[in-house]
Amino acid sequence: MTIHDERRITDLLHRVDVPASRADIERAMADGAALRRRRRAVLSGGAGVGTVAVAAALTIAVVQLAAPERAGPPDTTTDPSDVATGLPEGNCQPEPLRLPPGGQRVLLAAIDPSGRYVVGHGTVNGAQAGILWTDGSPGVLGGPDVRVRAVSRTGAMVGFRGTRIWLHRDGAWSDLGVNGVPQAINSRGDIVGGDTTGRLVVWPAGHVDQPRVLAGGSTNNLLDYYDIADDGTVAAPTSDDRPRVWAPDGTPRELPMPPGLTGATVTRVSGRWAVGEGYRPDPNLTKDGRSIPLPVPLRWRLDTGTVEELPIANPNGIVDVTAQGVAVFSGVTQPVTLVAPDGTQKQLPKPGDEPRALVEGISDDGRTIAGDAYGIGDESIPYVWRC
Amino acid sequence: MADYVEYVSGRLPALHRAAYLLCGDAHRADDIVQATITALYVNWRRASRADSIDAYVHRILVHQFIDEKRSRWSRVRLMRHPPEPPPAPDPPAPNLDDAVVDALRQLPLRQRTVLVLRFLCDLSVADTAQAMRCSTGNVKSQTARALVAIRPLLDPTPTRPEKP
Repeated sequence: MTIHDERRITDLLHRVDVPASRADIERAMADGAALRRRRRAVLSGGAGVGTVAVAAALTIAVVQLAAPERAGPPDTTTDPSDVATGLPEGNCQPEPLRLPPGGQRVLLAAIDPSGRYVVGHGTVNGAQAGILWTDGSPGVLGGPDVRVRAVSRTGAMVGFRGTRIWLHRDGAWSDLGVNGVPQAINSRGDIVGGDTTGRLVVWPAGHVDQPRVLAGGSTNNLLDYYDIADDGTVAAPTSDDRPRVWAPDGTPRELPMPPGLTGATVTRVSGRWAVGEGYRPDPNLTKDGRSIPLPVPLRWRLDTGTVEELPIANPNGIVDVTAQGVAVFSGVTQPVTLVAPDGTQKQLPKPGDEPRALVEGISDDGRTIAGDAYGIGDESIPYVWRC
Repeated sequence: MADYVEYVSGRLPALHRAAYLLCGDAHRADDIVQATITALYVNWRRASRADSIDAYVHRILVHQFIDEKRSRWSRVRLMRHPPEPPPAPDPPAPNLDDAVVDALRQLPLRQRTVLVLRFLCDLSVADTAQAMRCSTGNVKSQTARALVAIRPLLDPTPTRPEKP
């Protein structure tokens, strides 16, 4: 069987035998009415922001996991890795992250560049809550239910509630008073994300009321990744599919593409390294003569301005890069894999019996990798690989 | 709310099919659809004034799917009460069904979503872009890549020469 065209996939999707639905319209109306009552109660209480949050919980597209901030140059005095390849030593055994009492359905959001902090979101005793692991020990974030997006090396977290951006520092959430969707935060407290008009923006630490718009950026794309290094360098999707990063002052810097690519985007930066994905026209034309772009994983050296293709057959799941240039990938059909600057690869053990894992990030020293392990149809389990 | 009941009753099978093909699991599909029609009830007045209710509902469904998959934040559990005794197991699905569902599962999330919205839900490029919160160009490129990606997953015969 061969899929030739859109008509064929349309036919297949409609023909699949789907189990009967158990959704309940009466239940939906009852729950919906209760939510309306809650909304009115919040309104009558004068808590306007809360009202926005309730409504947003139902309608907002929450499509982006946090991108952890990246660090500056590596600390070579404590470099624990194989000097020749940059790959971490050891067998990198996966360990499930301990959940807080009453915690379930937890999904990770980010790991900080030091590897000390991991953040996620789930339910704790039936209520939605953010969870911060510090050195593997879980703690429930109190206060308002803010959707955590990223954590910095200092342990500061950024998230959103309704349309507002919130910052967690010194043990408490605070409303920064600006609207948008934050995507990443660096150790200085600079935040990158999208504003309410869809522009790529940096909210500088301490001056969030003076956002800096990054020309040529794109935002709010489904499941794209964003990054802001400690020096303020930003990686983000672009409006024209040309790979670029933005200097700390907001100046865009175009990056090269290997010959033959039609476009690329940078997903993460760390020190002098960046990773991303490019697109190459398929030499095999479709029946109607079109050439369709195929994804190609890329790694750049920002100091030399060079780019290379990574030797990965299935680049789906490119996620992160360490300060020493080790790229980490994951995919639904392949194990978590590290690729050193010299091309040496290291595949990490599967997490238990789970058939697949999605990596969310790697520490700058490459020794701690965080991600979620999935069974088919099961709840995910948060894991860390420690090397 | 008779119009709500009428609309949802008519669209429930299609919504469930879309959710099932997005997530590949019947129970999760139930959760996604339940959350979707709950949100639709809350926002029914707005939805009923939309240019296309279907497009509006599919936006909610995609968002619920992403939430359910990626954060579990706003997840609504279908089974509030103890479940009824399970019905007799369904007969094994035909191989074609397994192949299609497995192939969709192997696609990246964006590609899977764009295939379901464009070719199952019959959303326009513009409505798909709005549901996925991306540009129309992004929808087109994702569609092209998804069609290429799913081809070998559905066809055990190699369609292109191995790279040297």
